[in-house]
Amino acid sequence: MKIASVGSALPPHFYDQETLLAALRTNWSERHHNIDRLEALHRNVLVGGRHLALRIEEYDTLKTWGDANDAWTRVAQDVGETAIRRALGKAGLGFDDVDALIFVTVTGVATPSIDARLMNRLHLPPRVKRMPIFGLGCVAGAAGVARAADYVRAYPDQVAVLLSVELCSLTLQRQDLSIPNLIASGLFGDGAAAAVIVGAERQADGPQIIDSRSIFYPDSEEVMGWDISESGFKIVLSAGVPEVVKHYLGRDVDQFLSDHGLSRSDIRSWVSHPGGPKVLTAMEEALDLPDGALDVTWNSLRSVGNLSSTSVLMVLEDTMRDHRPEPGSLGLMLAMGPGFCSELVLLRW
Amino acid sequence: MNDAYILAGIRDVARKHVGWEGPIEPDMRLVEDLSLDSIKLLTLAIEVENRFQICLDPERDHELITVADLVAAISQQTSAKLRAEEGNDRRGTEDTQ
Repeated sequence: MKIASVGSALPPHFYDQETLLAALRTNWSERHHNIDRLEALHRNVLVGGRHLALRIEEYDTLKTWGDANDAWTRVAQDVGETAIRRALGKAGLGFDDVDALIFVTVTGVATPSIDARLMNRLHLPPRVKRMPIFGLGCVAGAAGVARAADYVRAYPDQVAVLLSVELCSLTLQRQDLSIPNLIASGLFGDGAAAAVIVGAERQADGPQIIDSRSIFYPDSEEVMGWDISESGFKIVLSAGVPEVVKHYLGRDVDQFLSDHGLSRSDIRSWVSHPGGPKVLTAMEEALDLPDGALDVTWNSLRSVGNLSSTSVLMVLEDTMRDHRPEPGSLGLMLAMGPGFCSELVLLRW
Repeated sequence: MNDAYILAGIRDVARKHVGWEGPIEPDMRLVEDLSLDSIKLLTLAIEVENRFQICLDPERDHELITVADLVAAISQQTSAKLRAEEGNDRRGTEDTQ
């Protein structure tokens, strides 16, 4: 089983953090007194700018959850199509080669799901097995790779495409001036990425998937997620994520690796979901990583923000393109998300 | 603005914005006794700023260990604000004379 390729697509509307801040400032000042503190909060997430699904002025026209979700359905197809085209192109495969299509998101809802709509747009074969998955959140990039690997393990001559589309800006509740929402409005961006995962009987150039591990943390539902309100998704965000990383990640990674007779020092490359600065710092400490181990992830956070499940796939794409580890070396892909849970994917480059 | 009034304000903010239903007394510690994580601490700071129309110094947030520390910081800022407003009023009166 290999990851043959990853392709990504970002919406064309890029705004630096200061421009986004200026757009939000008026809204904040209706309720908050110390705007300087809120601006500092936005700058502390270390995001330089973000791509948005819509032009900034268009967000004012979204009056209801339905408006936002209609925009999500439209843009998700655009960026999703581009991401799949790019991924298949890099893998040297055509639409007829696709056997399974896994679609992950946590930022919008559609039935028929986005994968069904892309069946039509891309003229994918009618036999394609579709698996839309909603709700895994940030973990879904790594979990999607793992589930695609499970699929091609069963069908080693087949090709699975994982598509992640996250348009976080369309979930933003502008009237919600709570601190978790203000943090989210500074951190999360929009994008899509597709990964092509092929079975053992297929030739491919990318890293081999050796194994994966799901870890669920019981009774931690309050750490992160959505509350659903009349106006859409309202973020639930506690300060618990870095704590979970500190307490469990080192133990879980060690356990997973030791089942393969490995330890952390055997891992040469780390492909991680970015979370936010505190999460990444906690990860570096918990795993006692060498300097620069998460540079690709830090760069992704700085340049486009946290794209939920799409981020780890973009980090993987960057790693495959510009930072390809030595052939035969081992790598670990990892992400965490609502549940709360982790997903680990062991790679051989 | 006396300390009792400020404490009552903190109690109200804690109940409304960080979901604290228990008692709040000056000697209680914000993190250990009120179970405030970093996001809830930030929420408490921002919401007391809104309530009392003041700006606490974020650089000194780490000095706020107990409820009494928070009361003192709010008291200091409200007094400073009052003095500044009185100064402005006096200057305004002098300007019109």
